Amino acid sequence: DELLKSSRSRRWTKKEEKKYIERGEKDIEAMRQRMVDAAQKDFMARSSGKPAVYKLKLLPEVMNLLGRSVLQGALVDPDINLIEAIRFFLEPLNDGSLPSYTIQRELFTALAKLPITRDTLIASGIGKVAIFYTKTTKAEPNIKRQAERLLMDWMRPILRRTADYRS
Amino acid sequence: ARPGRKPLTGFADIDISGFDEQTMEDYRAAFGDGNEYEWALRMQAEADETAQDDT
Repeated sequence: DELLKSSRSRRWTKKEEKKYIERGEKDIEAMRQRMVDAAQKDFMARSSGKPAVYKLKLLPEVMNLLGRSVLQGALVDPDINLIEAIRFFLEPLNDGSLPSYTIQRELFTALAKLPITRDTLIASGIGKVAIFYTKTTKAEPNIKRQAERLLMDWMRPILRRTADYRS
Repeated sequence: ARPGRKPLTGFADIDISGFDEQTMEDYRAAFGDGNEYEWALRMQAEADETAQDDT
C-alpha cells in the first residue's frame, strides 16, 4: 500500500490525491446508505415471501469500492462505518437463512484485506456476525474458516491493551 | 480437533472476566455476548427438525 501510495503521489500532486480521497469518502458514505437500504429491502422481501435480491444486485458496486486500496483508511473509518453496512449484508435474514454464498465469500475475502482497527471493530460490531458464522451449520466450511481466521486477527487489537499493560 | 467433530469454535465462550472493565466493554461492543444471532440459529435448528420430520 505504501508503494502504491508513493507511486500515486509521483503521478498526482498532494492536492489531487486529497481531492480523490475526499471524493472517495463521499462515495463510501453514499454506498453505506445504499447498502443499508438494500439490506432493509431484502428483509422486507423475505417477510412477504419474495426472493431477497437487492444486496446481491448491489454487491459488484460494493466490491468495486472495497477494491480501491487508496481509500483503505476511509473504508474502515469508524465514523463513516461502512463496515457496519457489511455486517448488515452478512447478517442472517429474518427467516434465519444466510445471505447468498456469493455475498458471504466476497465480503469475508474483502474483510481479510482491510486494515480493521480496534475502533472499527467497536463501531461496527462486525465481530458479532463473524462469531455467528463460526456457529451456524448452514455456512460452507471455507466460510467458517474465514470467519474464524478473522476473529483471531480481530481479538488481538481488542485484548492487546490489557496484555500490553500486563507485560 | 477430533475428526468428525463439528467445527464449532469457542469464540463466544472466551472468558474475558480477568480483563479490566474497559477491555470487557470494548470486547462486548466488538463481539457481543455470543447470543446476538441466537434467534437465527434457533430458526435454523427448527427448520432442520421439521425437514427431518417430513422425511
